[in-house]
Amino acid sequence: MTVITLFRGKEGLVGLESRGHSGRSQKGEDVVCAAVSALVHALLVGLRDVARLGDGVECEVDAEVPLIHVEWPRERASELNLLTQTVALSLKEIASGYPGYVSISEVQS
Amino acid sequence: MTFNKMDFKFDIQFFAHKKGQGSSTNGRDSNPKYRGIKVYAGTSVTAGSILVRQCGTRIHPGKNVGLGRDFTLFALTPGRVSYVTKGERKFVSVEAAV
Repeated sequence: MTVITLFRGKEGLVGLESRGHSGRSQKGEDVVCAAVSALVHALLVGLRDVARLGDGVECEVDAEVPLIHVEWPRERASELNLLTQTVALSLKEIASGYPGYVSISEVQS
Repeated sequence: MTFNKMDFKFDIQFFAHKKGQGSSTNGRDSNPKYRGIKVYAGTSVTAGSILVRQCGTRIHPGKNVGLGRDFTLFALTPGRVSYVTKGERKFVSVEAAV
């Protein structure tokens, strides 16, 4: 199961972590994994190429675990809300559609 | 390294299980039985020599040749081995040494 953790500060979402195999099928055939991977990678692309965040972003990508952990500067959280909230709500939709393969929770940070 | 220099590959199967190594349900075999003709035509043999190991009577006993309970063919007398085919059947005989 892929476990997604959203880190929420008073400014809004300040980070996201996605960890573990979804386990629905094997590489190349796992639609649930594809959806989660696409959204999380889209978040990284948005932060990097659209918001052009440089320093101050903590980002770890480990394909072995697999793990993606990203935290962005709190001062930019509200400005990034459109992007981060869209991704978060989309991930919540997927988790509710595939409860056995994706779990999502929020942590006050 | 600053975030915008970070190089990550957009992998839509990032959270999928690696393809497992296929497994085969084959790979079993019985022990070898070492069947076949043990003495070829024209060879001289002593009484009791095993001529053929076989499953069922692929080769039938001819003159001076006995058939064991496991269809083994063996010489009843010393002499020279010969194989003959009569119709559909193959026979092994031992020409007694004179």
